Amino acid sequence: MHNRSKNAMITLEVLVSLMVLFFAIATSTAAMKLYASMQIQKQNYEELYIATTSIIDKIKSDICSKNMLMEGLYNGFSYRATCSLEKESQNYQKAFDLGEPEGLIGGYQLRLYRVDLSIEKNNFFKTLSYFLMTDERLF
Amino acid sequence: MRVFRNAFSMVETLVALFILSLLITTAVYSFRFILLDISKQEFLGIDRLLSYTQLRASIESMRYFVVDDYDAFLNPMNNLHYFFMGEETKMSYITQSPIFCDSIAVVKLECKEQKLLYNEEPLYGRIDFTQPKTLEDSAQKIVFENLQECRFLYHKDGQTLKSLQRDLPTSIELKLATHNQAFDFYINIATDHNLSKAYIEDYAYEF
Repeated sequence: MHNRSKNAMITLEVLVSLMVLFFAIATSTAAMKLYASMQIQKQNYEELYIATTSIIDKIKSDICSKNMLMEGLYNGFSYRATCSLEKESQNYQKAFDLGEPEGLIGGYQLRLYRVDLSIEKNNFFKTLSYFLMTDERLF
Repeated sequence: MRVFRNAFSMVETLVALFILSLLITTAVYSFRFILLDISKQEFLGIDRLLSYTQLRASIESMRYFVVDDYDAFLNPMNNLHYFFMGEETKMSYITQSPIFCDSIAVVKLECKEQKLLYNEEPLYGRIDFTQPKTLEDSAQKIVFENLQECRFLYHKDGQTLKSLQRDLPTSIELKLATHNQAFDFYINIATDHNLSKAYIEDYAYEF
């Protein structure tokens, strides 16, 4: 009987081993979950890259020249672009003859705008800014 | 004696461990499948982005290129026009940023058998550059595959067109969809005003 007791494990030992096993499984599950969420985040960035480059091209012809604010939906992303004037000037006119005026008096009004673009999809929110120049013929 | 009643026998413990090991093995295998799936997705994501970037560079660097329809019998008069052929499922153009070679090339993009195929042939090589075309053994790349939808739209002078010939569009929209995802690529053509129609036609007529 004494020998049999040596081969057996008490409840406490089994419980401790089960607890260690539980912690090991819980840790690995948490690591996998984190890895999976990082992959989703990475996929979001990949989609964001495609969407952003497309949105910038899509609004390029209208933003700042026709509309100061543009909103819409593209590739599942909702976007909002606002335009603010940073600087404006006429283009440089070179004098071709003595006595002719020279300087920023050309026939085009050049405007430098700052575009703030915010993009959102499923609580994934990003903003970016870029500069855009427009020209308007004066005469 | 009471102490022995509270303990597990070796057989009980072994059976419990066997069941546990079965559970762990199943869990590890499922984790392994998840890992494989994730790594596959990662590869596809990077590959898709690379393909998109290459395709984008190729399309936005589209170049005005004048070709001549001159033929001694069919078209005896010179008939200059830009090289561009755009249809709903295929498009041919000249680009300054090709994928395979480092010089100007003629490119054909085609939606075929649920794939988007990219064909490229250097313009100044083994083809007649006055009538550019890709050959059967031209360099080819499968840009995207397993597509449920693949079509081109062309934007020109505020209009959206399903086909455009002999003139470059201002922007191109590529609509792609797989079984679980849809993508729209909107690409503006970065044209150089120095290579305008008048400039090129004057230059072509001059020589």
